[in-house]
Amino acid sequence: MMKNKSPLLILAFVFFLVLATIYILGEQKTKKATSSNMKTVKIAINQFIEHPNLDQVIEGFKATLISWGNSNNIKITYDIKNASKDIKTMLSIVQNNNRGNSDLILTLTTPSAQVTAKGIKGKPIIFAAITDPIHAGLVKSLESPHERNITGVTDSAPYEQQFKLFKKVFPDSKTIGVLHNPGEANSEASLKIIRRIAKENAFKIKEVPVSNINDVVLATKSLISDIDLLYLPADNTVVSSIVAIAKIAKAKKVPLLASDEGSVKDGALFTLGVNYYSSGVEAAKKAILILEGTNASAIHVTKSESVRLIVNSKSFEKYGIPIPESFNKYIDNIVYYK
Amino acid sequence: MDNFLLETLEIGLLYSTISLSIVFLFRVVGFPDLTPDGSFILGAAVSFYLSENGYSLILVYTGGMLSGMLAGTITAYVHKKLNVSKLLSGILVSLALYSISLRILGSSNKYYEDNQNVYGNILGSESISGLLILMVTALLFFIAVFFYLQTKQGLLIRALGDSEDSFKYRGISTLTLTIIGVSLGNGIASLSGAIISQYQGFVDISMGVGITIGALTAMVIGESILRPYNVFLLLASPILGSIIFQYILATSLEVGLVPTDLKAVISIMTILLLYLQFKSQKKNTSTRQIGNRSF
Repeated sequence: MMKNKSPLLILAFVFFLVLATIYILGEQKTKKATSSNMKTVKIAINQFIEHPNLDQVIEGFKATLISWGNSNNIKITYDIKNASKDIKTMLSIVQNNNRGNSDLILTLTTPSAQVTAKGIKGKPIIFAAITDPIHAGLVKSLESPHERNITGVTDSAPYEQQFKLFKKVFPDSKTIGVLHNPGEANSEASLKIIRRIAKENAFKIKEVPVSNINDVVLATKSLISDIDLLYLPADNTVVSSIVAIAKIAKAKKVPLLASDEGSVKDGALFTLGVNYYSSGVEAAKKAILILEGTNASAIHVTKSESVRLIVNSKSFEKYGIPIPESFNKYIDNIVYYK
Repeated sequence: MDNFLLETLEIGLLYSTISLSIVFLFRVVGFPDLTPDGSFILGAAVSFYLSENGYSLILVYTGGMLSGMLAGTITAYVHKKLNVSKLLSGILVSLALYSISLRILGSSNKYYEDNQNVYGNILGSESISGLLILMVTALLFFIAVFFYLQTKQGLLIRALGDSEDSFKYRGISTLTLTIIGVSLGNGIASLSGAIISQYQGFVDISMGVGITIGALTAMVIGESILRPYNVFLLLASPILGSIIFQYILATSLEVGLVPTDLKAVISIMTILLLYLQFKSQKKNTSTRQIGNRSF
């Protein structure tokens, strides 16, 4: 049946060519990283998606480790891998971690941590940017010892403090609109808390679910005339469309509030946010403990409590509202965007 | 297991099951169906639900498969009875399945509390038995579909895929056959979803998104190498393709390529393979490939 052999040969050749290219590209990268006589530590960072908050975690993580490395004469190299939302790629990344010589694995976001925790053997794992590690099956309790060689830092937006501040700044507002994607694990977890806290602060909550970025504009338009305040939870789908949401909200003069820093930077008025940079710092402190010999299972999972007030002064100007005096309380921990 | 080749084979075999369902739908039944995006997560969700409520493993897998078959039935019915195009009916049903799966799961991410199923202990284990289990699984899928296609009904479905018009000219209704074909294809897809979610230890609502396109790519890679002219090779090509797909992915990772660039690598490789296939076909018209080739 094999009448013509040449296509198979060409095929083999192309395969070879592509693999060779990949190999050479990779080789160049690894060459850059070596050539030093200091002691080196290699840290693999696995993440499931691309997100500015995650970049901040990594930034804080790296900054803390660099200063530790400098004072101990240790060179730290990183191997950052992003699965771009594909679990199959995540599986390959984890197998790649297993074969690699990394000393420690930092994993960000829930699906990434789940695959990493299940697939990695014999290497300590630190998770970060996760709201509920127990619900995700990563640890049975926050206190050590954990069943696996794993620990980490959780964060949840400081909702109680946020809503108290909202009430203080907008005492007359009653209905608060919330956009969220029911398909996101973290978003759903946070919504449960928001419902309770909104009630406690005498807000009536009006939820609108969206399933992708295309729905967001339509959902915002339908929601905006029935509400006094619009609130965006830590939801990737919603947060990705912040610019469009901000325009609609501003046109109707409905104050736009958010739960994360990036959204305020892009147009929301203000929020009390998780300090992702400092959760990176906390993760790095755990990493240092592990690198100095502590077993990851013996380290408590802690919650990153650091809060900062994030204010977009340009948005305040656009809405024609003066910056509230109650913000003075946060004078040491305030970030302004223009 | 610390072996690059074996580990890659493991994931390749795991995902070959979903590729097999795509070959069944696209090539055998001749139905370019995008329902698998939805039936994949539906199978994972239903089997998770059954498993968490303590049903036996047989029920877990049958339930997973039946849910996908039901989804496929709806797709075929929407296409045939409501005259919606094949592509669109698949997209519509898979959209609905996303919401339904979310309802079944209760939240967007759930993990197996007690992973005592067949596939739960493979990922991260040291022994080679996991690989054997996956080989047997892929083989069972292969054998089941292969022998089904030799039965009278299987032959009729193949005929339907090859030329739906010949049925119309003879005045034979294709409704029942299309429903059977599409529902079986989606049954395989949802069973695959059940297996893969057990392997990774959790169900995430996003796990089905884009799975059809990935599986289709694997199928095309396999076909461009095997040039299937009989049913055996037709069904072997998704398995081979899926393994090669995974091999390209893992090699790229191994040599330090950024994972976000992987999609471009795989796309370029697939286009090259298709080009080669096209060139050799022009030269050599006598080797006719089997199955519906309209997409």
